[in-house]
Amino acid sequence: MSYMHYKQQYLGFRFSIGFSILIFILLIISPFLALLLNILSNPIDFETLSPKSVIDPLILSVLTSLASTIISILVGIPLAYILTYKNFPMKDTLDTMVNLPLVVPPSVAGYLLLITFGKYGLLGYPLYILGITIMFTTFAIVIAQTFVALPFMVRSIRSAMEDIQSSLIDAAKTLGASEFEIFREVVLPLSKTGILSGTIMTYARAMGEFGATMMVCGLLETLPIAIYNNALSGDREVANLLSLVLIIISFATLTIFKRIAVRS
Amino acid sequence: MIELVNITKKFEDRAVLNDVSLSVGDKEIMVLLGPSGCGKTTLLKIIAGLMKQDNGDIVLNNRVINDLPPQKRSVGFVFQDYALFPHKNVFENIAFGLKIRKLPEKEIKNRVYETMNTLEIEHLKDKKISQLSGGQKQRVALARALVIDPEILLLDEPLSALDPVLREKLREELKNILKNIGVTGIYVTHDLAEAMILGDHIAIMNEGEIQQIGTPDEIFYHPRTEFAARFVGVKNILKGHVIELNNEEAIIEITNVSTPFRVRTIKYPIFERKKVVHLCVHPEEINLGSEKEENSIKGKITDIIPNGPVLKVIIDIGGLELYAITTRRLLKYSVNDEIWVSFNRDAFHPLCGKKHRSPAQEVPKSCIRSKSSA
Repeated sequence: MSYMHYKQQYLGFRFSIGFSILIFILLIISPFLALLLNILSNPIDFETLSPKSVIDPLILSVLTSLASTIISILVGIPLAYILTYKNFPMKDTLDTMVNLPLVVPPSVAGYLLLITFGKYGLLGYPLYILGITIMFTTFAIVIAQTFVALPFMVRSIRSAMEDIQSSLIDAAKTLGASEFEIFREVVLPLSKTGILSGTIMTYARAMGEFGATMMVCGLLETLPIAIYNNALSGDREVANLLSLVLIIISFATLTIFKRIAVRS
Repeated sequence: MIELVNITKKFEDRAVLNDVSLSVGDKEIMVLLGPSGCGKTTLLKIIAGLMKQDNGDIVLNNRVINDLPPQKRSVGFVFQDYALFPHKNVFENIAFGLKIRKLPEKEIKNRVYETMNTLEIEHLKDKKISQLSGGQKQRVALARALVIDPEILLLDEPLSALDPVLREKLREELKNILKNIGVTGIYVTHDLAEAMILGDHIAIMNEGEIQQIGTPDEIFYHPRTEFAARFVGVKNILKGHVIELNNEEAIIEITNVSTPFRVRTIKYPIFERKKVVHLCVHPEEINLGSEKEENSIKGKITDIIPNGPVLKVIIDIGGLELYAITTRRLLKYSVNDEIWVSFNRDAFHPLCGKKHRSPAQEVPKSCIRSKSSA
């Protein structure tokens, strides 16, 4: 290869790297910059700002996400366990169903929950007769968040369980451990990192959930919903502040996630 | 003691184990020796209950354990990769089986310390598994399997993950440990030297079948099948015709070789049954000389290959290659030298051709006459 040719190739390589960095700045960095400029040009006036408009959505988001994360842990660990270690009919179908919420549009998810838990829905109607209303309550938000975020938990735990060498399980068996003892003494402790990172991803996904929640939350406002409502009504101050809060939470989540990944 | 009777196992349509029978006496170590993929690890897993045989019985101390789960079999298993629990320290790993048995704290502690003491690993008790060397891991794995006082100890290539120098050192230590403890064991390996050192008996396996069971000496000096012979390092397997047979000796013509040889036959009844025999000659039994002697043939050295402490000499004796082993000090010749190759009359031993058969099928005709009848 001639020197000129080599040089041309090198320049081409540098150009394409520069180009992708430019695209990244335009598409990803500039929105964050816009938020910063917006906050600076519309300074938040804490005198007139109603604390409820910020605090209420924040508290609702934090609590519902916490609830859906806890549900995801409780459901995700056994689900990941059977998907990793058990063979049963329709296992492939179950596997697909577990991952389906990842690809189904959130609005579809919300609609499905509406026709399931609505007053005349599949489960909603019997509950309605018993005097229990789910739709448009905090509980509906938790269900929507769990529906969308559970796959993150299952996938994370399952990949940790699949990494456990089968000889460790065999060794535990020859040493006399029952299936439950193997689960408690070997599988669970060795999936710890997967459970931890699954928890963080699930929590982050639940905090950011918008589409499905939108369909089922009624008048309640989580952080993303409040941002949408305030942006539409032109209340820039509140939309800016809430966005900033959500971005900070997301940034912190990713940082913790990376720490855990490095440590394992 | 443990007895395996006609164990058969198929994966899809491929027979991995075909009618395997063997028995291991009390406090004996049986080595399963064979190339990778011959079914030896599968057999261990079946004994441990980690896999189920299609057919056949496993009898451990007069108790059929076919249907027992691994937890109830009283089997100690040392895995090839040691399978130590990475989230537990050395003490917790060894104590695992006793904790599961819900023994009192104090007894667990005593037994773990006792075992660590026997294996000289007490100083490692608080170490993490990731801090251990290969040899230390192997000992911890052994301790964990032994502390539950198993009726049989199964070892799956426990030295194969170590480097050659350490392996050589550890196989002798391991032999002493196993002898001192006095445990009944089955040891799987593909390494002949390991098998010869550790085994009271060796079973040579190939393609799911046991080819031969015997003491290390029997296996080494009297392999029965061509596979067994090649696996113990016999390179020279000569096909010959018996042209004359008297009480003690036969005169045998080797195919493609002009000079007939005298072979002492007294130990081998096969010569009375067969006219065509395959004869093994261990490479170290071949003498190289400058003069014609009894039982010798002219040959030409075609290659000399240094092989650690010994030299491998390849000799052409008219269309047939012989492998001889000698030492640097004893070899006076070089490549292309014409020499006389001579054999002691006892150097030949016939392959009697029969694979090991399970007792249920047939009693093999003996390959070697017992001393009393000779």
